[in-house]
Amino acid sequence: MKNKDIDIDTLKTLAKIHLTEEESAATVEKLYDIISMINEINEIEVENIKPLSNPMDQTQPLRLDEVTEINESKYYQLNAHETNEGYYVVPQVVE
Amino acid sequence: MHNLSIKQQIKGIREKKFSAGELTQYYLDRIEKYNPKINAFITTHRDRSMDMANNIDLSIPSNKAPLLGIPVAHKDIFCTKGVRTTCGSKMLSNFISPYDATIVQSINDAGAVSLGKTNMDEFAMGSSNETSFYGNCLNPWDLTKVPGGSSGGSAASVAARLTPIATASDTGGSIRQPASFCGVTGIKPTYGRISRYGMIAFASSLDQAGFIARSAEDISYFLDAASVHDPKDSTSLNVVAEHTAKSIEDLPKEIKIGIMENQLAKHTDPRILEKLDDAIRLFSSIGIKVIPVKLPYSKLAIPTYYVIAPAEASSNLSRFDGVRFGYRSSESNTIDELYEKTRSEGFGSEVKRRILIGAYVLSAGFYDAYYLKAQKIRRLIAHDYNEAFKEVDLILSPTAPNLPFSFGEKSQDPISMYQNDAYTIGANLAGLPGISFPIGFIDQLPVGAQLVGKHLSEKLLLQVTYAFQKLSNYHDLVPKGFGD
Repeated sequence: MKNKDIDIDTLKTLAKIHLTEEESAATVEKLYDIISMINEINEIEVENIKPLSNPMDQTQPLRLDEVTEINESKYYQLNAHETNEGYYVVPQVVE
Repeated sequence: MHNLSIKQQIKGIREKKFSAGELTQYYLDRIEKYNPKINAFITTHRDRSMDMANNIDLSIPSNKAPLLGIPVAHKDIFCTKGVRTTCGSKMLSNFISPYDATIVQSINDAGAVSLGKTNMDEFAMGSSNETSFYGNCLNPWDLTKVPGGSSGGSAASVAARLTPIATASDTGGSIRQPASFCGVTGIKPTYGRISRYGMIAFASSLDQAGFIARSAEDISYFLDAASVHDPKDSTSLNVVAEHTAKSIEDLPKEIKIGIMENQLAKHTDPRILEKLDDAIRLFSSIGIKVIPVKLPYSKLAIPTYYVIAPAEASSNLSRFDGVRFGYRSSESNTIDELYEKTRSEGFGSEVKRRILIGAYVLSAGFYDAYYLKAQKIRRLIAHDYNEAFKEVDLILSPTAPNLPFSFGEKSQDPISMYQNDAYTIGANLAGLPGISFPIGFIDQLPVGAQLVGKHLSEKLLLQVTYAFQKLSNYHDLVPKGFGD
């Protein structure tokens, strides 16, 4: 693997993170080191092993479809940068 | 008063030797005096703390709450209603939580008094507290050294006796490594033992809330109060917790401790291994049998972790977009610019790096090669522990491969920094409980050992650590310059 194998522009798009060209170059150097390290997992064969996603091997519990919360949206929206009649205000989305 | 154990503090309040208000005032004064030296707290709230303590005093003697009037500091990863909750990040520098995390609610209900919010690595990503937006937290034992991380502020505040106990969280070692670096005791319970509700998510299948305090005995009181089933966290265990405070002195007979035959870190300081040998001798002197065990796949714990944790982080941290809460960039004209510039300006470099790694390992074509494969190796690592626990009750190791290091020593080299978690990450991948406790000093810097147990063996971990601490005094020592 080489540094050029890391498509930093695609990663920036996926992660929704803006980086300058200089920051991108420095980040690729570090990502290369980290990805080289995690490639150690390729040392072993795991074809017939079941993945472990919950360390207690639990399944997702389900609860009754009942309303348990009261509507406190006005209180929660106190943390928003800008709201209008209960909506969050953002820059124009549709041209 | 800061030399009293939590048991003695509870007794003192009940017997009216001092009030909850006096105890809280005492610690707030210590924070005011000593925190500028170590920057362990991001936020304090004197009036709120005193109100909580004074209300406790008014409720005595009818109030039978188990933690009556005991002060506690909260890692700033836990949501605290009406109090700024930053997670060590610029992204949440203006976030006032509208609710309490369940761990906060549980110990408030049990009578604890909150002193404030402790410093931490940004979004719990770090092993030195150097990624905090709120400045470095300093190690009270040597102000030129890091306190460890990510719960560096919690560990440093307990070491400096600015609080008797602090909440903390552990995704790959973030309770145990700073506890080791600061000469205090820290427990990461079994995955799901304490609710994650209101704990700002990093890697949801690894994150676990816990405590850092001076001793195992001090931890036991708070662990008992916080170990409750919480329907608000779908991974919260619906299992009644064993009471640990009442039975901490009841060390079971015929305990076997395993020592890893293979060293997990590439370079462990040999002086730390010598201290571990001293600890083994102490355990042997009280009849605990020590035998070697093998954990062959644990050598892959770090690469496995650095696939799974960033993958989950990249998903969890997508919520920070400048729309509903937190920092928003003022430079954006379109919705995409809003997202990208908010996240670029609001996150620090380590957080951005981990999100990008997460995006890489989850991206099209790489999912099977990285994320799925890592989840399979995770099962092998967990299986290693299960096999070892057929032979032994607990597994002993150093907590960290090195002593507390200097600021800047590892911050430019992520791979070297990640090695700090070599001994601790396995417990997170397997969901096992682990505890770090002080076993001595090298060059006036603390050294910690780690015990890892089977799922839900918190009681045994605390009993064995308590037995060690009855025969040693490392946990009782106070760093120079922080009062006797």
